[in-house]
Amino acid sequence: MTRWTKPGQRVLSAHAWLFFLFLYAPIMMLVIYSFNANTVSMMTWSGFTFDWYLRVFANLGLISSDRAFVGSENLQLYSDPALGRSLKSTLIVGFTSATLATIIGTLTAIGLDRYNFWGRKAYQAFLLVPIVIPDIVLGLALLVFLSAISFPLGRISVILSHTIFLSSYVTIVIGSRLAGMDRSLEEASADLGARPLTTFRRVLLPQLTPALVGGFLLALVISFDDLVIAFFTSGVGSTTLPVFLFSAIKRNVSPEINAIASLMIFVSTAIVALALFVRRPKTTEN
Amino acid sequence: MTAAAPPARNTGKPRKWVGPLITLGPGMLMLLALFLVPIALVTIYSVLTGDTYGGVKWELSPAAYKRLVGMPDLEELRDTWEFVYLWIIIKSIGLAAVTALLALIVGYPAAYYIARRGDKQKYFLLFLVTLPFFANALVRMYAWILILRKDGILNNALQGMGLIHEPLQMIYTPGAVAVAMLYQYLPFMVLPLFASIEKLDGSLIEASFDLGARRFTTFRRVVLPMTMPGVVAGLVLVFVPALGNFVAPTLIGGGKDLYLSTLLAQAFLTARDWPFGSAVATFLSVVVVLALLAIAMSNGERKAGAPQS
Amino acid sequence: MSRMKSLLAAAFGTAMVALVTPASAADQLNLYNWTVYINPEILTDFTKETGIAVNLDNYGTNEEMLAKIQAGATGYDIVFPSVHMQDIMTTLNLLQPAGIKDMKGYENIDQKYFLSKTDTDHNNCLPYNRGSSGLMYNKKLIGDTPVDTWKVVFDPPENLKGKIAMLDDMRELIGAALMYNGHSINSTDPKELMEARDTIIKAKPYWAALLTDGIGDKVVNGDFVVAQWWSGTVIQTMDTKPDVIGYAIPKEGTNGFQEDMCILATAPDVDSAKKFFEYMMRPEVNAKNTNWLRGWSTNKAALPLIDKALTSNPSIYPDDETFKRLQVLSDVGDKIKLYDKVWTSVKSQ
Repeated sequence: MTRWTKPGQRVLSAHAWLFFLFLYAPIMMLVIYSFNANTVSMMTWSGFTFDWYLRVFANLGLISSDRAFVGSENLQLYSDPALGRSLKSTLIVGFTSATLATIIGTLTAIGLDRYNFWGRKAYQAFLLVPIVIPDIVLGLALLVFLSAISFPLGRISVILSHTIFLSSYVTIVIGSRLAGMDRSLEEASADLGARPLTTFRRVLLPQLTPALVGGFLLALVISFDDLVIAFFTSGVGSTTLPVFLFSAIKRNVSPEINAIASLMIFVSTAIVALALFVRRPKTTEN
Repeated sequence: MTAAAPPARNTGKPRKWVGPLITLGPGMLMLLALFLVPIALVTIYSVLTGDTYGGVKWELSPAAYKRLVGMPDLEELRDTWEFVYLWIIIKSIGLAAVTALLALIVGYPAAYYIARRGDKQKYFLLFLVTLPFFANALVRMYAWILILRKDGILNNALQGMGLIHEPLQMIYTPGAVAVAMLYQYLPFMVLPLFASIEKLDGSLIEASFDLGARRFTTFRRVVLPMTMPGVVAGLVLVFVPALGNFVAPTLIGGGKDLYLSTLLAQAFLTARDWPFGSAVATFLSVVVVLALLAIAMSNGERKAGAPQS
Repeated sequence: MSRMKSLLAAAFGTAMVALVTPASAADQLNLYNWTVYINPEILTDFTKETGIAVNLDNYGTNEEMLAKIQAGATGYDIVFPSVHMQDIMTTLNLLQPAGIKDMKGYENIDQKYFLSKTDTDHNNCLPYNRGSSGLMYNKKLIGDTPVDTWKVVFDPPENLKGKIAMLDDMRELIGAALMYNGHSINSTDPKELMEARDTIIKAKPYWAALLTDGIGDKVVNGDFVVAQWWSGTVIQTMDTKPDVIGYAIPKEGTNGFQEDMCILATAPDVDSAKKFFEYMMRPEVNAKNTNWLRGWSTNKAALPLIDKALTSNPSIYPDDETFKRLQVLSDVGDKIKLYDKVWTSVKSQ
């Protein structure tokens, strides 16, 4: 620790507090207001209710929709059944593209780690581009391309589009794990005469498992989040949840959106927590 | 396996290319087919002629870039220079730059604070910083709508405290867009900064104090230069996505102003002018590549030279 | 152990493929419609009656829909373009005639709603919904300002400055300015368009925002006092606050928009689509939908079933005099470039 006089330290602390407040206040506020019973003026607190969440669940067919909810008489607070479909699309697209991305991204990371070839560093840097490039440019380029080759727009087009940039994320995650990994086990396996594929399957893969799971979950969350690329490359029956939410927000700021939004926050947080739990430093071997 | 010699280490030498092919092949193929080709296609489209209802005709034409730059073009009824699009570019770059700078100002002290904590606290705080990033971006933008609306939380709070009597018009202003984007990209600034600050050699700072330098001088001449790679990385990682951000200007900006992102969407969707849209997209791509080069070069200098003073 | 793993992997893979491939069941109807633009009960009723599952996807503007269809969003059966977009799509061979002349209930369709220039036979598409793009206003805050003229938004009085919202739609906004200046909503005269551009630029500082949605509740709570919006959604808001919300059709003219229901050339299930057309032509179905949409029924036999509250309001069901104020958007072909030029100028200053 450096020698800082007290005022300097206090200012830094205060700033840090405000910083985290700034970061979390909007989200917390969103969650709080999702329990607001006021159906007319969303910003005025008029009581606690679970009804917005119940409406969402009813919409998804998880509970019966026969009960009278808060605000049922207000036609403007229209509960769009497309919610369920978009959720299904989001899940399918997410799991599929995350799986593909994990496979491709891991292979690429291993290749970059193990083999030295001309242009390796450049390729490594180039892998960052799909992540950094503004998603609207990528989304439009993909739309232009898919249209040029007459590829039908639908779930598959969204999955392919997501896989591109998700792979780069996975490569980074696996790559950093590989960089810090002990090669001696693999070398021992090769010394014992195992074929490279066997070494890969029974030595390397188990060692990578936490990173694989972490990478997969990271890809999953990012796919769930994507709006712009899905917006441009989606077709029949592949409207994802963010795309649905985007048009719902523009249309009419209904308190039900608060409930949907809060649920999404909760799910994302749970996934990330799970990812970290899986990657926690183990006390056994390695 | 012959019994004579000890089992040879199996390195698969005869098929040396199999390993690289299997591991790197899929990724490269995908990158080529689903990234390079589409971007290249867009770049090509930018120099073709547009079809009436969208799409392109395969005839070369500089019209799209001429329009972007504002050159007179009689076929498009432009008899003098018009800087509408250049102005949009400047506005967008300005907004993205302001967002990046704000992120730096807000993020640097926070990153410093976190980096100087003990190990356990450090990573926990870092986790706290990145966690909001995983909440859906759209959702977080939406939260700001609720805060900034005329009947929103901020206005209600200010009125409740008696500081203002009439609600302020906060949403639908460029400032609001900047704040929303700041919120969005703050983790992108804090993480690289943290990485850089963590590597700081405390003894150099101590030495600076020992030599009698005051805090600000120490910061300016020791800390800042040594964390410059983190600063550059952070600035670029905020600037580039902010430049292309589509949701913030649409939801929070109120549609009154055009930025590069909304211009892109409009060119392709509303005006169906694909060459022009492609020109804008190409321009954005070039900016991205330049920005990444900036990071690469700054890292390169860092590795090559001794610590700057 | 590893055989189990490979078995699991194979099962996982098969499940993935199965989930990923869209259900290409023969009895599935895929609709592509504006957001919140069809009564969901109609769809469930249709499924109950025919057993055909209905899938509904949404778009926000005509252009967005066209871009998607052109780019290859095959798999949709029915779309709901505005009339001028229908003409564009017909020119691009994106539609196929639905053959409504041969369908039961054709005689109920009011012929005056066949506005499409490319559908001279009145056979290709079914007129779906008609409305107007007028001015929604807050009755309590408007004061004495006359609201049946575009002047209230293009040259607003002091107390309304900053409390106006206009449509973030190129043809709608420029059209309003054109009509305010006494020209046609479909003008392609560069001088008239430049004049419209200047009118908009002059008035823009007095507007709070350009939006297409989320306008209703802001007029209710007074954030906006006047807003340009589509009649159907205005009336849906009016239903919840009849003493606060009012609607007016400006005397200089307004866009009398109309959407038609059309079958795409690449429609996978034309039979189900045609069954849906016949279903929609039934008076009671049309009435149920129109009552929900708050629009004008295009079906003469359905008129008696429409909500009296709607039919008696001249701003919503216009009398002949008001009807004359309505102009209909038509495709301007190549000249869209001029509009785009104006739109970009307007948006970036």
